[in-house]
Amino acid sequence: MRWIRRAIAVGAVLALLSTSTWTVAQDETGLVHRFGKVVRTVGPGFHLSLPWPMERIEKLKTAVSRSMPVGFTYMEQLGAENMDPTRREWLTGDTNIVKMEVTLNYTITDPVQYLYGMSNLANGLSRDLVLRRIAEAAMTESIAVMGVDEVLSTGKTQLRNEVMSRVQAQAVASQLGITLTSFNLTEVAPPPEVQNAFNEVTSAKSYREQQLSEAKGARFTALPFARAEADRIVQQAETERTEILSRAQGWAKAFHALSESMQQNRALGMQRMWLQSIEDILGRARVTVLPRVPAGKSERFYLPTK
Amino acid sequence: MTMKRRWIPFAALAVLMLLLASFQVTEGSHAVVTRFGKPVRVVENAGLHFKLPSPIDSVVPIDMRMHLLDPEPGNYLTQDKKNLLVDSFLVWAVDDPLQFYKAVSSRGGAEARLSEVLRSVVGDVLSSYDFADILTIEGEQSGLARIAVDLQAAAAERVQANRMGLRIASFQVKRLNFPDQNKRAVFNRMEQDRQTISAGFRAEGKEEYDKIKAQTDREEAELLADARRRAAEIIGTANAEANRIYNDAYTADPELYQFLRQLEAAEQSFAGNDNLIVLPADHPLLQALGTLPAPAAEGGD
Repeated sequence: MRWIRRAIAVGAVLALLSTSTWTVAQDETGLVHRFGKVVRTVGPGFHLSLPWPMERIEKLKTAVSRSMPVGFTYMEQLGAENMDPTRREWLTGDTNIVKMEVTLNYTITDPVQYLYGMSNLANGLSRDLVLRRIAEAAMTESIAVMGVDEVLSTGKTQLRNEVMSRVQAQAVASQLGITLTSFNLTEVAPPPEVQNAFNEVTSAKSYREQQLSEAKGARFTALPFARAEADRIVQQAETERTEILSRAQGWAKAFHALSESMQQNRALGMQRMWLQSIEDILGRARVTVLPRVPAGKSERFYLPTK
Repeated sequence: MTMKRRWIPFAALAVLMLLLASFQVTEGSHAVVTRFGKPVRVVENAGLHFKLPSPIDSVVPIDMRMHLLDPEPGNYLTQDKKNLLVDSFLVWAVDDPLQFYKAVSSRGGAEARLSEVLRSVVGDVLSSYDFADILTIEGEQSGLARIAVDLQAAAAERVQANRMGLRIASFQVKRLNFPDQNKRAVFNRMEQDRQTISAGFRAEGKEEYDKIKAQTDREEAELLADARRRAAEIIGTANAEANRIYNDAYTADPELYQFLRQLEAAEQSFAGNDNLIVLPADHPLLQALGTLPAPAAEGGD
């Protein structure tokens, strides 16, 4: 009978120890519950508590960054769940539909609130999914006042900031005990049904750019050519001017010299010049002399041709 | 030995009584204590509490945490009779544990009734907004923010009226979409919009091109015209200057000038080689060749 008592005593001690010693891992926070009430939180390390049924420590991974997909699910990505296109669809302010997928990253910053602020979902899923609902509402609201082009291009930062702050505010209001760390737009695109039309806009836009640069390029080369041509015209005129003037001046100089030289015997000089000219002209010409025809008679002559 | 063992039944009884008369309230919960089924008090603090032992008093724990109610989306009409697929959710929590226990008692019961409330409230609120209030690029804020406020207020009113002992923490539209049968039309319109934009870009490209081209052509023509004008000016000035020089010459010696001009004109007229000149026999030029001098007759000097 003694050994039975001893065994009971040893068992009791072991049970006592096993329910009063705890190890909290590096990325965890421990919540010490006394009769169901949270009395303190403990960090990583070895901890003692009162034995069952008085105290227990619940451990929660708080140093781990968690992520929540919005607009898609990880199960879909793994192919374990059917793709639901409407999950990706969002209505823009100009009643277009855009395809958008977002990933939210968050950490548990208030473990007590995380566990006791919001219950798990009615269908047994994690309370973390509430974050997706909140984010969806924030995105729906933000996108509802943006044009489709804004959403697809310039509005992403605004969208990001708005959704981040709304989701954080709602997370506080819904007592999720989490803090958002980042918001990643993993995909923003027009729906596949109208993708071609959107691509066509892109190519039309690049056509416009191309036309513009083509025209600018043509202008870039045409104007220097025109300037060169204009310059050439003016230069040519300058040359011509020089020619005209020097011809006139040269002539005038010669004229005055001639005039000077002919002060003495003008008639003789003029005659000599005249004869020189005649000589020159006739020397270069073929001369035909017509015989004298007596008055009142007509004659026909044949001129020599070449 | 007998003395030693006598306390054991008392101790066992005491432990049993302790178990029957104590209860734990976990964090995030309250508890309603009922005596023979009739609620008598609410325990709000988590921890260890005591009551009359069962079966006199019993304890019903009430989860005071927030709960998410997220039913399937439904089709609703806006004030201007536009059909929208609206997916909403609400976050609720027990407000008055006693009231809650009396009215619905469980989360399942509460959510069954809240689902009805949600559906009718969404219908009501949506029908007082125009489609353009919800989706707009005019304003800074979507009507959805106001809708959320309205939804929460309307739901709270119903819940209050039904004395369900709970409160609505948040009631929002999380998804909007067009019903499947309208979506084709939306995609068609989107396509048309894009085509209009594409055509606009192409027309703009053409326009820009033509504009720059025309401007280039004009500037080119201007440059050349200006150059030609300047050239004409230069040559005109040169000619005027030359004329002045010729005039000076004329004024200095008109006779010689005219004579030279004549000669020049003659030379110009007969410029080139091989001109055929026909002269009558009695032309002065031929006379200039002269007659054979008669030295005999006149050589008398």
